[in-house]
Amino acid sequence: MKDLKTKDSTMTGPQLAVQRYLDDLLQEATDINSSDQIDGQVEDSEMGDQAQGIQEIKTDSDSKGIETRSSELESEEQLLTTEVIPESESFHSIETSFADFEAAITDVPAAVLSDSEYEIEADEPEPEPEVRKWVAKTEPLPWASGRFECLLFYVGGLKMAVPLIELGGIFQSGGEKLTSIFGQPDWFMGVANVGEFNLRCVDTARWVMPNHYKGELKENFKFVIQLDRSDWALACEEVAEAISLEPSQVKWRSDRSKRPWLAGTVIDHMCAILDVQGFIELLDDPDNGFKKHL
Amino acid sequence: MTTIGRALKESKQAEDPMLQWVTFRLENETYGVNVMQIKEVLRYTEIAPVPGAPSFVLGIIHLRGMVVTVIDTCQRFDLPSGDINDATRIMIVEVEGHVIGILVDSVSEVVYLRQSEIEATPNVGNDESSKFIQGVCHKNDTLLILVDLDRLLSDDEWSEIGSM
Repeated sequence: MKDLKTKDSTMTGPQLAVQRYLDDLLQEATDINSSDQIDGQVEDSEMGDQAQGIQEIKTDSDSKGIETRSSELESEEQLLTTEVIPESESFHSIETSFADFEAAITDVPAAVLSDSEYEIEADEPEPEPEVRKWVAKTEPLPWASGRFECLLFYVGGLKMAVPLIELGGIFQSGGEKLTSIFGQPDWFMGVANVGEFNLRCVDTARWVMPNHYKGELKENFKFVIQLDRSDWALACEEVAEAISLEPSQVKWRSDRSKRPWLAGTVIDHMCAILDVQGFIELLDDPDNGFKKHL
Repeated sequence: MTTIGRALKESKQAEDPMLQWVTFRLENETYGVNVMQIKEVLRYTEIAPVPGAPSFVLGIIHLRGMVVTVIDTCQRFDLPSGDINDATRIMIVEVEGHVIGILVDSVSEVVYLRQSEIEATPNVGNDESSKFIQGVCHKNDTLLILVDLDRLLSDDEWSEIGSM
C-alpha cells in the first residue's frame, strides 16, 4: 500500500496551530456531518486541482495520527496520512505574545483528535468511490463569484487578507499622524487625515483577538487599511503581497452573527479573509458594536 | 465688483460665517475654543487647592482681586495629566456667565475657520467626555478638535463650584 501525505502532513506545529485557530474562528455549525468535517481537515487547493474525493479519515488508537483514504485511487487503496505533532514537542517553540494563538496552540491535539466525530472504524464497509471537487461549505460573498485577489497584512502575527475590490487604500500611520480623541473606546486609535477622508483608525487586534490583548501592539502599527470607501481604517503592522484565490480555496464562514468581520479562512495561506462590509456595519453600529459583539 | 456680486458675496458669508478659534495643546493634540469665550491667557501661576472641592477642580487663583476657579482639563477629558512647564497656560474663559480657568499644556494661535469647514466628530463611543467635542477641522496639516466649553460642566457642577 502506497502512502500519500496530504498537505497537513507537511505542516509544522505552528502552522497546524494557526490552522486550528482559523478553524476555530469559523465556528462551524455543529450539525455538519463527519464527512464534511473530514473535508475541513484536509481541504487544500491541491485537492481541487486533482479532483480527488476524500472519503474517509481514520484516527489511530493513540490519537496521534489521522489516516485519510483517497477514493480516486481505489484500486490501490492509497492511504492519505496526516500526522499531528504532539503538543509538547512542537508548540513550545512558538514565539508570540499573542495569547489567542497560544490558547489555540495548546488546545490542539487531544481535544480534536479524540473527538469521536473523527473516528471511523477501519473495518466499516468502504463507501462507493465518488470523484468530486472540493465544495465550499457556504456560499462565497458576492465579490467572490470568480477568481479574486486579496491583500495580505499582519496584525500581531496573524495574517489577514482584505479583498482588493473592497480595499479603499493603504496609508502610513505613525503615531504623529494620528489624532487621538478623548472619550472614545480603547479600540479607537484616532483620526488620520488622508486626502478627503478623516479616517477613523481601529486597533484591529482588539477586534480579532480580544480575549487577552491589552493594546500592546498599538506602537507597532505602521499602516492603516481603509475599508472600502468608508471612513474606517484598520491598523496593521505590516502589509504583504497580494494573492489570487479561487472561491473554492476559501472556507467561507457559515455563521456570521458572532464575528461579522470574518468572511472565511484560507488554509493554503493560513489567513483570515475580512468581510469588509460586515466590518463596516459593525463599526458603524450606533449601539457600539464593540461592546455588543465582544 | 458689481452691486449684485457684492450682495451675493455678503449673502454667502452670512450663510457660512468665519469663526475664530484659539488653539491650545493638551497631551500632544491640538484643541480649539471659540475666541469669543476667551477673556485672557495667563502664564502658570500657583493654584491654591480648595479642601472638599470636586475632583475636576484644581483650585483657585487670584486675578486682580477676583477669585477664579481653575478646572483640571486633563481630568475632565479623561487624559493623563501633563507636566507643568514654561509653556503651561491658564486660559480664563467665560462660560454661561461664569468665569473659570482651564489649565492647558500650551496656547498656540488663533485660527480662522468657516463654519462649513467644521466636520462632525468621528464619535464612536458612549463615553461621557466625548460630549465636550463640538467637531473637528483639518487645518495646516493638523486635525483640530473643537471643544464646546458650554458643555464642560453640568448645571450641578456649576452649583458645586458656586458653593465652594
